[in-house]
Amino acid sequence: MNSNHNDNMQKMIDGYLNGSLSLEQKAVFEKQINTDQALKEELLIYKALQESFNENDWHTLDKNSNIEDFKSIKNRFKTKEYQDISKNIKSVESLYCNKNKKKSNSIFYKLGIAATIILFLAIGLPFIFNTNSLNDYYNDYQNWDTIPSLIEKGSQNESQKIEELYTSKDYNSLIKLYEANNTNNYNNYSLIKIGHIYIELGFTEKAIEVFDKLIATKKLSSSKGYWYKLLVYLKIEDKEKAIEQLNIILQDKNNYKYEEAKELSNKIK
Amino acid sequence: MRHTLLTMQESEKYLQALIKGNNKTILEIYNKFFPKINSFIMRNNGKEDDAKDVFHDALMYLIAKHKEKNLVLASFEGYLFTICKNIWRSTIKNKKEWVMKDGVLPLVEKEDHLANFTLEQKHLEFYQEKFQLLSDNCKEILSNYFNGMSYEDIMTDLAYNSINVVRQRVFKCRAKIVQLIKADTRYKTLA
Repeated sequence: MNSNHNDNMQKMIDGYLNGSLSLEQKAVFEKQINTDQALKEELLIYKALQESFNENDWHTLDKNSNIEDFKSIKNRFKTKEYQDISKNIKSVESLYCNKNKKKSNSIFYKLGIAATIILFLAIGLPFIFNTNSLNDYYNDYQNWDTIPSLIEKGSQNESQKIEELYTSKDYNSLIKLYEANNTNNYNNYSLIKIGHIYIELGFTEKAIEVFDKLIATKKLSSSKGYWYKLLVYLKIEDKEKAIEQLNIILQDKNNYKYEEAKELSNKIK
Repeated sequence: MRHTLLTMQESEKYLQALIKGNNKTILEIYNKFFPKINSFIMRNNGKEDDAKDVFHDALMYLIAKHKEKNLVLASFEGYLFTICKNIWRSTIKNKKEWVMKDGVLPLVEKEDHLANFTLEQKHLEFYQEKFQLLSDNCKEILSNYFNGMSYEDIMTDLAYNSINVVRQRVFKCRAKIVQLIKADTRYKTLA
């Protein structure tokens, strides 16, 4: 297969996966898939990868091609042992829901009285019902588990070591390494991870410094720095700084997590 | 280091409580982690009942996984959140596919979805393992590409000279991961 042919084929696969082929091109390509087993296999793997690694998608399986495994797992969950565990979890869930219902009923009762008083005092009510703390928003919006891991076997650069320590959860060594080699040789994903660990360990000022470094790289992805600084301010419940950060993100639609920032802005302000 | 050790001990405590039916600790799990999952599901077009189902299934998945191969978790919360998120991704995708196929949701036993998810999660972990074997550059490019970033944006972000160069890199990296997947004997049994 020459390189031009290969290139065209890759473009066709791309077009087929993202739905940009014309009806005619699609029909020709599907004919080709049906006669070329290797091409079909390749296409299926590409599709699986694209769906698996896209946060807004998911790769589903054809149940029939995994029928034996499927039956065996299903049967395990149907055993008395698992059914009992499931019932027990459900009973705790009911207990949890009832407790919270009572709690919220009681809160609403007390709030009812408070609201009447407050109305007399002409104080704005919206603040009373906004029960989410900034830290709750941090928990809701943090996206640490979506940062790709970039470990390359055999490579020994500083980012590489950071990645390894982050993956192995050796956070203290990671911080020691970063503080001993505080250079500019880290890639953006490593900087995000270093910042994350500073937050987890409670050194939020250090986290801010790291995210400022990310912003200073002036790459397209540097706007991620604004988002992660926002997370720090949510974590430490600094409303003023959080709003300041939100306003920066909302200045440009291309900024990382623009839509989430818009949503958060409506909730917080 | 101490922080990691503490969270590992906490994970083991929760996993054992789930297996042994220690209701006091299971209630603690609900108190500590359910609100966050509930809020995530609500923000992603779900309802509280969906959040309860997802949370229940995630706990069942964790129990089965721990019984199968002794899970050692650095963060119970992080892992639980990832599994809940993936169960929700899977639920939404299945709904979409059913509706596209025949317009109706089939009646399935509740164990069907959990069994399906367990298989799908196994596939995902296999792909993630292969992804880790790629070079830094390939990981960065593919990660952006799979999440819908255009060739043009990748070019600007990673300072490439032309869209064509980016496209060639995507093709090469994608071919490399396919090669790694095919070379693994588990691929045939997973496919």
